[in-house]
Amino acid sequence: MNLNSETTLVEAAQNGHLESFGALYERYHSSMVALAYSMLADRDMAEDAAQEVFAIACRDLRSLKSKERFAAWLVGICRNVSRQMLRANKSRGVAPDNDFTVVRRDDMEGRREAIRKAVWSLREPERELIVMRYFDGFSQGQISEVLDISSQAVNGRLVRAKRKIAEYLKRNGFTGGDYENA
Amino acid sequence: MKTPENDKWLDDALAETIGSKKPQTGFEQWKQKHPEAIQMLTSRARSKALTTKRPLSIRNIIMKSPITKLAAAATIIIAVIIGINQFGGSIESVAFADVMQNIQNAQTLTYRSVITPVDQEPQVSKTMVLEPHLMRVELPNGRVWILDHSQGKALLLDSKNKQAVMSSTPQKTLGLYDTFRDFRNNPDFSVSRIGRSTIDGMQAVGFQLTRENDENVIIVWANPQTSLPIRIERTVKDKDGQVIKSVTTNIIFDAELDQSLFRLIPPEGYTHRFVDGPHERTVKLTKRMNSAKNMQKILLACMVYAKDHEDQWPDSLQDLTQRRLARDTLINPRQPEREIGYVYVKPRTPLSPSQIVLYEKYDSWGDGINVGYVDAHVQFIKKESNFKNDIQKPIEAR
Repeated sequence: MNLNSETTLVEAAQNGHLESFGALYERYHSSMVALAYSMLADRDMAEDAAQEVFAIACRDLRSLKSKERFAAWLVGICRNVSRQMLRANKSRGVAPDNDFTVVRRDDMEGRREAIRKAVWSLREPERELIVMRYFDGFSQGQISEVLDISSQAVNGRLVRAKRKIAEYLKRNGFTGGDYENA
Repeated sequence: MKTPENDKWLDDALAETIGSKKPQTGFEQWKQKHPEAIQMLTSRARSKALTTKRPLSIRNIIMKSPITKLAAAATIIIAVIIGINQFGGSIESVAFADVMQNIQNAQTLTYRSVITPVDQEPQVSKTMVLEPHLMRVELPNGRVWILDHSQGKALLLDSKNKQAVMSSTPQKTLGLYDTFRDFRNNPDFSVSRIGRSTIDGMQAVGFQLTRENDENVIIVWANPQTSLPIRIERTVKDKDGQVIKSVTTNIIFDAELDQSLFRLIPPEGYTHRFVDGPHERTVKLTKRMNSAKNMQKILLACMVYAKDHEDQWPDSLQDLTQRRLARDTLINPRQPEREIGYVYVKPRTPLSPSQIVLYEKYDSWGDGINVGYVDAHVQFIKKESNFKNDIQKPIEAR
């Protein structure tokens, strides 16, 4: 990421330059959708959340003091918006519901459902990384920049998270061979 | 099982399951949906933002207009004066404190404000306050803002265009009366006399109010006979360091104000609409999400049913409730009054993933409906024409 370029964009946007805000939007929209999706487990809701994130960012951008922290600021807004949506939904969890048996080993949708369950049973920091990595193919470097954590930490967490997913799938009777043969 | 970190199968499985398949909203689309946010961002670049004719927007008026912000600020300033005298310490004039004792009991307050935002023409507004919850600000161009803090509602009336917009009170203005009360209870202003002057042909005594670590200056001119404030000048810096001046005059306590001035009902002949506040938006989105989850359960139940019935999907949703699907699942949280909130369309064979098999019942379209497909995914469709095209599409065209 060209930090100078980004701080210039942020500064220009703070001064009312719409195209600069547009460039920031294009740069971060997809990652905000992915981040919201990791919390909400619903793509349409995640898209709505991301839209709200940029509406808030647009409205409050001038209050951002550290221009170089734009991404972290945006991530904070995104987590808050998503949590707000979840709080309004206290009576139900975000993870795909477990009260209906959906895992059917001989069915592609059953396999997908099992993977979804495995992902949403992860802790939030791991789930965020997994979803960002696979939602839109973010590189570890990109994830590191957006979430403001080191590349090594991203890598370590991804490996641990994938191991947990694999273990979950194994417990539920799935193996790599099953998947490849599907 | 192979280890996940060095094998491709799990990567493929995760990419297929989590990967984004649908196009995302581009900036141009986003702009169209968020004109208020754009306006807020670009307002600084426009020197005549308030004098330019633009569509009625409750957010613009309530949350962004310097007039309403500073009209509210003027109320707060008057509250400061009340607060200072309630604690009775700093102002040297005994008479002033005596009169303030009466002001504390005032039930109404009216005043006129002239606010001069940066690079803009002065804006004049008239404010009326009816304790404890009601406020009315008459804005330029025939607009009136009525706020009922007890109900958390705001009504914006545009007399020129005969339009009314009702909204929940935004958080930023919800604090108005709280601030008012905070000032009464915690006055931390210090007051110094600045001498006498002639204001509108009357002799007046001046007081300067300052607060520690606060560059803003408030000057209050009071009538020495009545000790009532007759003019309040305020110079503030906004968060960008731009200086905004406001002058409040015609301050009248306990004027008779008709309750009807504060009614949150649009006058006859006005078109009116509701604008969701942040809370309403969250509630709506949550209900939408819950409905989509119900639909996913129903669709998965259909798939299981088909598996047990030689690939035949159920004839109706009742077939599912007789087996394992909870009846509550058929209630749409967006329309809980309906016993069954969804319309099921038995799919034709051969099955195509894009066949619509379930959608939310609706009387009028509104902002869109959730639609479920044969492959068990649920999508929110915003345009009725798109939905109708999809559901009427012949199977071979899908």
